[in-house]
Amino acid sequence: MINRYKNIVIVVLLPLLLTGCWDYKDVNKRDIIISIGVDQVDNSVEFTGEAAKLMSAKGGESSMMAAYEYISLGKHYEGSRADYDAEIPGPYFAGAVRCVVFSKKFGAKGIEPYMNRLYNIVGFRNSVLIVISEEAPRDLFRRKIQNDICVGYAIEDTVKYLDDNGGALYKTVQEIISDIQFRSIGYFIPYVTVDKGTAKYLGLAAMKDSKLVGIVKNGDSAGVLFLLSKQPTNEGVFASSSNEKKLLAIKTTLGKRRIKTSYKDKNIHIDIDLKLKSQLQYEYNIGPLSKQDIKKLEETISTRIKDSILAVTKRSQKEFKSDVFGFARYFKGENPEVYKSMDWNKEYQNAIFHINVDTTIVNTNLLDPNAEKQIK
Amino acid sequence: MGDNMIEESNYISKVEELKNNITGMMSRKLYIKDKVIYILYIPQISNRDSISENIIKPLLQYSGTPIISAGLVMSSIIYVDDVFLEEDDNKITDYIMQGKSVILVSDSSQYIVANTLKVEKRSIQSPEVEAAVRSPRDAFNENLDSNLSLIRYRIKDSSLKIDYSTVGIRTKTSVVLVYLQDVANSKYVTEIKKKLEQIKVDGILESGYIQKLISNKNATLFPEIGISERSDSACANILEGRICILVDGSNLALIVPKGFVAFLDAGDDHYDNDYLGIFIKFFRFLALIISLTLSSLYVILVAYNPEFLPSQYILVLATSRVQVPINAVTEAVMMEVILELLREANLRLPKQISSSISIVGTIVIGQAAVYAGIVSPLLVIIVALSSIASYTVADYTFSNPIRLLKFVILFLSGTFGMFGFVMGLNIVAIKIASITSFGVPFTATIAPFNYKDIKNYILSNVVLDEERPSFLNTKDKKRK
Repeated sequence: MINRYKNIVIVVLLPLLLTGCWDYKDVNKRDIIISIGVDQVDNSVEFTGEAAKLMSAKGGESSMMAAYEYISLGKHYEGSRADYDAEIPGPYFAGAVRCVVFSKKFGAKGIEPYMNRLYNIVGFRNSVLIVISEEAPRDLFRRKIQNDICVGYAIEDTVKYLDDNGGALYKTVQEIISDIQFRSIGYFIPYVTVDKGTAKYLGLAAMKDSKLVGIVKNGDSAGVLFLLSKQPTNEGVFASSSNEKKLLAIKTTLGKRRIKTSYKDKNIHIDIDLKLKSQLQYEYNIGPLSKQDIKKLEETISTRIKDSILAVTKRSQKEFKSDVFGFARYFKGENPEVYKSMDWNKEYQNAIFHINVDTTIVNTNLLDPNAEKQIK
Repeated sequence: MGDNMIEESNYISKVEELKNNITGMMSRKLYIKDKVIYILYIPQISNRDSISENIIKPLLQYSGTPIISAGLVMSSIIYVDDVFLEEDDNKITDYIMQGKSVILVSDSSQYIVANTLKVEKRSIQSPEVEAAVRSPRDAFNENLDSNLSLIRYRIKDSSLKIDYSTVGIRTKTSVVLVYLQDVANSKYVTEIKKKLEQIKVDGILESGYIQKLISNKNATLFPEIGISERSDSACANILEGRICILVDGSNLALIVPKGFVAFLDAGDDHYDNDYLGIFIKFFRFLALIISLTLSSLYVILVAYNPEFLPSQYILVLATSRVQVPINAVTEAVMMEVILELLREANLRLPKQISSSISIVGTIVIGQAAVYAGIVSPLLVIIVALSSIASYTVADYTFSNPIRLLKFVILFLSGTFGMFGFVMGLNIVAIKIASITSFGVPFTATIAPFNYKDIKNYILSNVVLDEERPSFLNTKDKKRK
């Protein structure tokens, strides 16, 4: 009898013995957290954020979904959490968290302990977006959002959309933990605010040793994006070389990015080689465009992107004093022995950048097939 | 016939004895020349017109030489086509009970058995349990001869073998094995015949009895033997090298051996658009998984691991359950039970009022239960979807165990969450993988894997299909 059901008993019992506990609680009986805000208030840690307010309308009407703000205080994270736990009707459920917002003050003090908390406590998603807000999270979450369900959703949706289109960086817990564990590098996290009923992406916050050391504004962040984003896209207006009044709207995307590092004459050399593809979207005033004009345009685009990269790399060396781009990853892979014997953080500040940007305009968007003949 | 019956007085007493033994037996006494002839039959199962026309009439009109033996009567007088001589008087009762007419001729040591059987039967109708859009409509009925005629009409091959046997001590039901002698593996034929011989049961009323009696174990969850109502699908299986078992009195033929993938195969796949066939086959498999797991997944996502879902889905899920006071497991079990009740009620009710049950069911579970806040609208969709999905399996006998196992997995998921769910799926997978149908692994073509077989199965294209499935070990492997 035992022999006969041996296999079934093993199948049933082993997972039970070898796995952890299981919690039965219906999702609607849990306290669903949508966003988390963390701030330093005097000597206390302030947790704030949004929790789902579940409402259902009877009789086939559409159900409502909303969020309410919560605030809790404590000396440590645990204390603040205990303070929050004391006021909720169901178990804390962080599986639906869309973003974690740090205040600038908290960011300057260092987010590493909280990142470790997020990474190691069971129940938090490691793929959650991390941002720094211009104002205190307490104020941020109080603001009303017009174009989304709540603040947490609005921030995540905005950053995600921009990241997908090469306009921002979407930084998650696991990516930050990976950067922290690399030790000698810094990283960027999105910098946001809520203004006039919408979440707004303001730029990127540079982090050194997980402490906020500076902000790269959205308008200046093209260089960062062309170095770090998966699909950086830049849309800009350029004047034609033959006629300065003739303005052209050009969209530039990354074709190929190659980063090589070396160590020569006691200096780190970082070669950045970018192949860009540009598309002429439209002309402000339609007129002929010669081959020379196009060539000149390509050079102008390359120079503009190169300048923006140079500007941010310079800031990283002089202002942030940290390798916020993670060039150390390349260097460690290419020169492992040298890397071991050097202080990357110190030497990075004197690193020499060789930036080569090569742009090709792949589509001039000229609808008139005879345009070329006309300008000859 | 024993000597004691040659004397007229002796077989008068024999006829009297038979009359006492067989209720309702008719005996027609004729004096022809110097002989007394008795015609014995049961009118309910005999063709009386045929008896009058083909036996009585020619006998009464006979004016030839004196009748010297039963042999002469058989060969020179009566018109019946299926007729033979018999000597053993112990068999008379059996022949009469089978609907044959027994003709006793005085002073003859033999008697004549004439086949005048006539059974009331349904005409050939459209299939009901094995419906299809593009397929022949001639389904089997309860008459063995009609069913055999449908098969013979389709397969006009001299190697089509039809082996008769009789099963059931009291019902003496004819059970017939139909197969292609030069194709079907004789191991299966011998095995089935052996199992049929070993059957000791008072009666066989439906092929389901035979299905259970020749299966490997006493109680099987998954069917190891397929059913077929359509004559074309039975013929397709015979051509593939399988054995078709027909049971007199049953409109469902049995197909041996049959495995997992064959249960998901439908006639349309072979007859209609190839691409659609592949597409639908995939969906049939998906539907099987859906019907088995969907409500369990709901319970897991609601009660144990909502974090498996993206954030916004979690909120929608939670919102849909705000007013539901009962927990997800109870809710899911309750809905599944209600659906099973509806299904059963719909099956049992006369057709005229079954539509009212459908309306009540729709209103009760679709509207009122949600409105009353007992169940979440999402669960209604899930339960309905899982129920619809369970109907997509071509052979309904295969969807029955899925219906039962759904509750097992639901129970395990409700108790142990995701681990229970995985455990449940493991148990089902182990169970399916350990079944054999007459020595053929139930999961054949997938495990053990055979690329050619699985390709032929998925494509179901008569142009490309050149070989019979290898797992059937047929004598003739080539189809072309």
